[in-house]
Amino acid sequence: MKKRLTLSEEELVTGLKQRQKLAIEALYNMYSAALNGIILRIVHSEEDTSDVLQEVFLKIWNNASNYDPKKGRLFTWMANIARNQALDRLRSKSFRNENKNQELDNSVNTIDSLKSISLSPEHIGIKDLLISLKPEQKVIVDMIYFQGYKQNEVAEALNIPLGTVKTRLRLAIMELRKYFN
Amino acid sequence: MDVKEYIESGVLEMYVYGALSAAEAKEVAEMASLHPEIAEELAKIEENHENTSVILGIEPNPFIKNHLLDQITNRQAEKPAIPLYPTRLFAYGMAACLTLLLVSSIAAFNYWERWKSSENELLALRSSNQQYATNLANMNAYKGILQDPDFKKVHLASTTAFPGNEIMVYWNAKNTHVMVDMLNLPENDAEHQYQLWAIVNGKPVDAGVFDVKKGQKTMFQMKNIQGAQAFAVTLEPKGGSTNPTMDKMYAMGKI
Repeated sequence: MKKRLTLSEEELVTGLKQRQKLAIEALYNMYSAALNGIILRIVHSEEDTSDVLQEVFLKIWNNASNYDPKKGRLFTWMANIARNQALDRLRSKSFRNENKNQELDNSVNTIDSLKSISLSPEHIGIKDLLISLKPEQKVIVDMIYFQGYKQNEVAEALNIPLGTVKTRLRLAIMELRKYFN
Repeated sequence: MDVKEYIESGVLEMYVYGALSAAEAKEVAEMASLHPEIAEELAKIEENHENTSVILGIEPNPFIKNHLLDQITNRQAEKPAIPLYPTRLFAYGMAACLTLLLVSSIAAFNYWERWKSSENELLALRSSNQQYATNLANMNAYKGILQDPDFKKVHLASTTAFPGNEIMVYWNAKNTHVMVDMLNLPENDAEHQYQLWAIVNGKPVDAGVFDVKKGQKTMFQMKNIQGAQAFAVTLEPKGGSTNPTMDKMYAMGKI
């Protein structure tokens, strides 16, 4: 296993803003898998995911000056770019509408499909937590986190009040937070 | 709005997980900047979001990394706007120079080859020109001899000991000139030379030595002879002998 370059968040941000190649390399080492996972769960295509991941890192590199640390964590900013870029890819391929109905029928698909994916031991805990969420929470996490739906889209699709969608997400995320405490 | 209620609503999770519209997100950011409690909770949700996403990460295609870093390096190299044009100009100039160098090298080599072969041709022409000049001189000499009524043509026939030899001797009785023309004689070695003898009053008189070289068709002028009755050719040690070696007589002919 080759040595992986990692930097602190502060070093990363400074390096990115100064356009240091080392910073983007460290960023890639630290977050490419996380962002790749987010993209892949939305576009469901290895090929499209590879394209989108590159677009995302180029955006991060070119728009680093737009990132404001006061407004939130670097990863939140990057995950948003990844999610939006992946959704753009879906729309451009007009997959969105076809997939929407299909995935609503099996809306727990992404989380339950984790069962069949063999993850390393440290993954098992979070996987079990996700799978053991209450079904009404699981579907919200799946749609919001794994498929990139907006809150009002979920409310409409499931025909439940927006407030309920929000609190269900909150409760589910609180469950996940237990894992890290 | 009650801060606790706001936190409990789940809007912060929606914000972090990117499920809000731009306007809704702006509102959350404002709330967070106003209320440290909200900012603190937001930071926890963000941290959890990152940790979960890292754990649920899926390694990308390993080829992407270098491809991406190359793209970034290239873009960075292309970034400065001003050096771009001179760099390209320099590259084009360099390419043009290299092309010109290549073309002129090929041309130079070509001309050098041609020059070399011309020089060889010139040498060959000179040598053949010399050959023609020699031949012409010989022909003129022949012509002069043949047109001169005072020259007598003496054919020296082969002896039985050395068959197959022929020599022609032209003798001018008036001015006593003697010319020898080797029609057919074997080449002599370095230690020997042919010697022409004139038979005057029954005795052999030295008329000079000559060499025979393969392919050489030259007429030699020999020593002047008066009152010749016959001519003979013998092979003698180099420089010739006082008396002919009779058993090495190659040809003989009477006038």
